[in-house]
Amino acid sequence: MARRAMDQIARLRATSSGSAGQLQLPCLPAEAARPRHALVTLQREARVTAMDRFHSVPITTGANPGREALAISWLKPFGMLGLSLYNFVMRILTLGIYHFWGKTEVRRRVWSAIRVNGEPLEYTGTGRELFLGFLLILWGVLVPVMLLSLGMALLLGPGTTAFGAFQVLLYAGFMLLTGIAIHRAQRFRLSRTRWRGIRAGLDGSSWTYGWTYFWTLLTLPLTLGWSAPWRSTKLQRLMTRDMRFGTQHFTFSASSKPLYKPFALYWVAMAAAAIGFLAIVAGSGAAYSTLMQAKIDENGGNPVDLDTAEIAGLVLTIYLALFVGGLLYVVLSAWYRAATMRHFARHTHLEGAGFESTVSARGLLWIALTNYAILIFGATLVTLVAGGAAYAALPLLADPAMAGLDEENFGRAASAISVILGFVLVLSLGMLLPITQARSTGYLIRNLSVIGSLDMASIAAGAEPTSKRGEGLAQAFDIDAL
Amino acid sequence: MPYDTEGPRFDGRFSDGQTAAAHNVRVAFHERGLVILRDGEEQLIWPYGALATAEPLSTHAVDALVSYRYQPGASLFVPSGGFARRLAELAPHLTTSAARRRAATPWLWAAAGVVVIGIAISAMQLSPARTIASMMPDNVRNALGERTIRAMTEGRKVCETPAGLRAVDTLSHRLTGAVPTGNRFQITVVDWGLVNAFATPGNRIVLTRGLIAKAGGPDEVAGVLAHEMGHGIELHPETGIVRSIGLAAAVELMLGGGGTVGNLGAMLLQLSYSRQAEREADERALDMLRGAGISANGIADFFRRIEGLSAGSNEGDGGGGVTGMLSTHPATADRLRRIAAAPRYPSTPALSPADWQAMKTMCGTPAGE
Repeated sequence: MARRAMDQIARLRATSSGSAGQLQLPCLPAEAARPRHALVTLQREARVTAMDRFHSVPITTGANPGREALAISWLKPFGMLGLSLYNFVMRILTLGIYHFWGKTEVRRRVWSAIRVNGEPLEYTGTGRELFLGFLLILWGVLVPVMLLSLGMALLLGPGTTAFGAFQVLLYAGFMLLTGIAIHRAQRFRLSRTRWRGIRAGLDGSSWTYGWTYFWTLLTLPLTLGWSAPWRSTKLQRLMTRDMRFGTQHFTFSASSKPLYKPFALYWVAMAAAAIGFLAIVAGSGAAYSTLMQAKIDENGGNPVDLDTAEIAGLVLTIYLALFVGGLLYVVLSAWYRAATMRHFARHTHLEGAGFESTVSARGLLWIALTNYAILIFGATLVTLVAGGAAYAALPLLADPAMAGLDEENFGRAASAISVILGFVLVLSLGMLLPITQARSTGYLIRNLSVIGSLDMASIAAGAEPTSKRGEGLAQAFDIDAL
Repeated sequence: MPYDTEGPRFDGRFSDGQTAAAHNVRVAFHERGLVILRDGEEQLIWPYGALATAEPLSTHAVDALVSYRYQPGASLFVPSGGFARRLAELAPHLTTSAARRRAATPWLWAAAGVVVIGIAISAMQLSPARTIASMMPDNVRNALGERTIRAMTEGRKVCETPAGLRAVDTLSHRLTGAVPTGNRFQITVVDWGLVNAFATPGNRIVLTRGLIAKAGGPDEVAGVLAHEMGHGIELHPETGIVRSIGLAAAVELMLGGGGTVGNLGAMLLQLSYSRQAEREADERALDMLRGAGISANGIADFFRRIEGLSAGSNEGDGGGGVTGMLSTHPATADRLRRIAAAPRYPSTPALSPADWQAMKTMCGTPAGE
């Protein structure tokens, strides 16, 4: 195996050194002292070199000397499992704060894995920016809203009509904020994405986007969902036309009409699934209330407390229903989502370059389902390990010979352990997210190609300062924390 | 001036950051920095200390995208693992481990500090929730209490025969007459089969019909009432609410939600006090009972009785209610021993037979079952 890789490298080296002197593999003193995993690294080098040989040569046509054809490729990032585990442990040790720095390292690796003409994208955001954005949202939005709703609950009383109206307003406000946050997060990511030193960006007002997001959302229930293709096309148009690379704006020319055929299939399937799902929910709800009524009658008309097993069963049923519902959505919507992505890509242009996506429903589904499996596997593993450790630690603490805790201190230690365990388990669901994010991005990028070419010399960096100056509150408010 | 460079040269692509065009260059390592050799233009030297890379450099790196702090926008891409590894040796701040150390170290210290402070607070038996609770103005405590009582009595009858209310009042005044803090309690009896008693914020107490029915005599009700008053005096309900609001808020913030924290009634029903809180309430109760000249045996008798009931009856009849009382007020052997160990004193029944009868019948049905 190792021999074969070496041979391959040698062959590649032989051929690449002949090709216009471009980017040959340097084989140098450092090579001798190469550390572990040399095989993997060699294989990756073989791939990147092969890729560069094809893509990195500027295409110089007679008429336009600055034009370059674009090739997008994905160089699978190495060590995402190690990074996942490292970030997970550090998040626990720093009480969650490392999250933002861990996320930044994941992004730097995923961005670098995206190659345009063999050269990587660069993510220039920092953990500090994400953290500041989070603090701003926390103290500027979440905490005030929480205090406000607490005050309202005290003032108006939970359960009253006035409080209900307040809650409706609150949810509407959150919907409006969601649109704004989507636009701001996109702006944050784009303005911290560079290729060949040129920054991408997002112009336009996030309020306009947020407002459009909000009012078109209201049309969904009114049209039984049939405004969805129109709505997503409208939002995509707003977003894409705000996007730019350097000084060059993206354009978007899609209409929603071709999306209606796949949407109709999706809608019918969803409606059938929803009816089946509701029937099951209604049936089990009726069975449950009959059961409860029987218990109440037995208890002489007094309400009865559910015992723990019953409550656990109920909660489990609700989560199972949500999970099945989510799974149904993912499966049934895959064809429509794939069609939408291909349609949007086909109608997106950057100067002389157009995009072509070949994502398929099967591919999207495979990625989504295997990603779920990976996340659940990670969480299960952590649950088993952490739960087992806690289970083993408790008797040791209770044993007077070992830790010598009296009954009261044992109770305290046990509750401290359960708090830590809860914290670890909440974090464990996201433990392998770096891997799944890399897989999803990789799938989309491997299925994306560019048709046409770009006049590189005409794309300027733009007036935006490229220095790190001015990264104060204003830029931090391009939040990406949610 | 040109820099002499020995050793290997690498092929790279250089962009000046003005446009998206790229040029082929040769790169070499010099002791002062990275030297970039451009065709027909003067060479650049980028000192190692001011370099940054797109990705932290690892031993698996197959290439490096380098930028330089003092030439913003410019970038140099060198597709060579050997280059990346040599760069990591010369500019160690670009390696994965250095980047991680920089990011994590301050937060590790901060987390250690938080843990130490947390341990100190719990070791000194300080309770931030209790401090906040004690700072709550009276009208907030009253509003909270009123809310909670309304939530608990919703859909249930409040028992208020004049004779019954008089009896409850008599008992309450007898108990609080001996309290040095001067707390006065407002007591509500609810027509509810559940065997339980709740202290709510703002010095309010809810007694259930089930509890009065299960009690063997006025001393037992007096004991339970004194215990709940003890919770009230020690501000346990307020502390519990502050703590659960804090916890719920923390969980919501952690999970990124921003929903509502409003369900006070349910929150209070689920509150269970720590052993220490139970002990404090018991101590207050014993003081009150002694001051009022009511036997302390009542409270112990009551707990033994409902414990016997829950052990003896598995069938539905109120059994759930009894376990409810036991789960919020665990009658540990420790507690019963403490009560039994209290010094004896001369005592009289907590209520006259007529008042006791009035209390038992205040929910309409003769509560003897």
